[in-house]
Amino acid sequence: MRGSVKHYIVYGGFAPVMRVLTGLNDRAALTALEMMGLDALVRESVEVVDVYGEWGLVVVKMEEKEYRRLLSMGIRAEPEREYRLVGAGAGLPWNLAMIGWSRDLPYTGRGVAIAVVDSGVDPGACGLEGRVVYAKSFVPGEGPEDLHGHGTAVAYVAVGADDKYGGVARDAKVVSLKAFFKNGTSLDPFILRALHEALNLDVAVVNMSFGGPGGPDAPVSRAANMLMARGKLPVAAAGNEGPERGTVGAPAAGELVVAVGAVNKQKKITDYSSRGPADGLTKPDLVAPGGDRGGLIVSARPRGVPPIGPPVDDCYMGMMGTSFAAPHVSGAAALLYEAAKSATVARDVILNTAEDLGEPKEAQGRGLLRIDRALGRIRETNQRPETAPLLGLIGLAAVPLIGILSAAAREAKVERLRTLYRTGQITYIQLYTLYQRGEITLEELNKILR
Amino acid sequence: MTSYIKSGDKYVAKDAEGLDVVVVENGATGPEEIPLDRRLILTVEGAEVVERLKERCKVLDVLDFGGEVFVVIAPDPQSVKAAFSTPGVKRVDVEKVYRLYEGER
Repeated sequence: MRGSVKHYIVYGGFAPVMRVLTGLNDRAALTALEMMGLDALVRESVEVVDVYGEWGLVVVKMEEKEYRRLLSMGIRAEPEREYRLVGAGAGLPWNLAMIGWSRDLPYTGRGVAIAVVDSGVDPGACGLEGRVVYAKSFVPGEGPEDLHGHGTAVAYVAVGADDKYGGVARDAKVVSLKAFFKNGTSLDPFILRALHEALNLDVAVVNMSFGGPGGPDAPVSRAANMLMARGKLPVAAAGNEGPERGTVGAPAAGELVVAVGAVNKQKKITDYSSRGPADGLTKPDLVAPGGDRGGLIVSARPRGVPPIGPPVDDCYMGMMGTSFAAPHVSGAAALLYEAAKSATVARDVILNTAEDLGEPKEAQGRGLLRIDRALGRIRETNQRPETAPLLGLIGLAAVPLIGILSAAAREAKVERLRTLYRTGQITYIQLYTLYQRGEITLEELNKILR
Repeated sequence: MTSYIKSGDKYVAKDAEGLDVVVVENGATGPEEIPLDRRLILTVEGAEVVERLKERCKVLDVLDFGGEVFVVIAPDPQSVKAAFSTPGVKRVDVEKVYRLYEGER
């Protein structure tokens, strides 16, 4: 007769199989376990619940004596209760504490909407009830519901509003623009449609936790850039293709897109986080918690869909990847947008207040997202008296507007602005304001930022 | 006759009468090698170009991002030919696959 049975997490190697829900008659699961070096689970007749080959994790149900037998065989396994502690911690979840988030922040994203271009968002998932204000599918043959799980998890990190774990901007709303099939893939036409929809909606931030081949010139990168020109901050996951250099793809490679890499619980850049540069551009722009196997990001799981990460309970699962780093920044941008009513200010402040981790630029960009510092900067700015006119600040007041200069003089001015930007004498916001005033073109802005 | 010069992983139309620069990407080594099961994303200049394309090929979508106009066309031989022979088409991209970034590589 069997004794008390509970869940355990078993650690193994990696295999290209995910979310196999199985009895052990499942051939794919058996193959995966073999590839992961965990075929002993089969020999020992352990009850396998889920196989997460790409995470190197298997969830099993067994008695304690079976657990001890696995340990004696040199197999690493942990009881379920220890796994829960990874995400929750004693007070704030580690990912929120690390970026300087606290429950008494003066801004919560009230009145701000974040577009999540992803696999859809379950509006009834834990922490997301009543938060999804608009949902549309651009995927042929699929409705707006999240049949994958990724989009729901991403949205939760950005806006999740429960106290158990929770997200960054707990009063912000979500606009769900579904561009990914239930298998987690998409193609340019569907993503472009979703971005085009975002362009015409009242959203302040557009989160893109996906990527593909291509640099700043790829259509999705350029489309994402144009969001910025319309006052919507494009935020993208840098990619999980690290640690090799030059692995940031599209749309994160877009000049005006905020590309987000990942750090783990120890505040170290994760191996998987994609590295820049991207076609000469410094990427990523900054990093945020993405987690790794030593500490996952706890997020919401959609109803009726198998979890895509190790389940914590019926509501939550553990996730890792730059996909989950990006919505930390999107949530932070929503708070700053509420405070400053400007996506350009939000962008500039987020980048300029990042914490330098002492890692190479190609890995950390400006450093780690710090919401406390960013909101502090906003507070300081609000307390200052009216600043000098922009052109005066950057020493251009005495020269004619760039728009009416000859081609050669225009080129010289662009070069001068480029030097000023590179030496930190002018900011992105100031350049962007010049663009908005029509004093430089988008092409010139991009040239200066390169 | 349009001639193309390979530049890195791109193919650039050179000295083509009536054509602007056209870039072919995604592993294709020229317009003849555009796969016919993939849609093309054309970057175009001006509404007239869109109209010309509508006359010459199967346009699936026109997305104006205010400064960038993308035209998505069907992957059939006639449409591909039109993509490479219509003045005002600045760039041709073959649709690519994008993935959600979950987990380690």
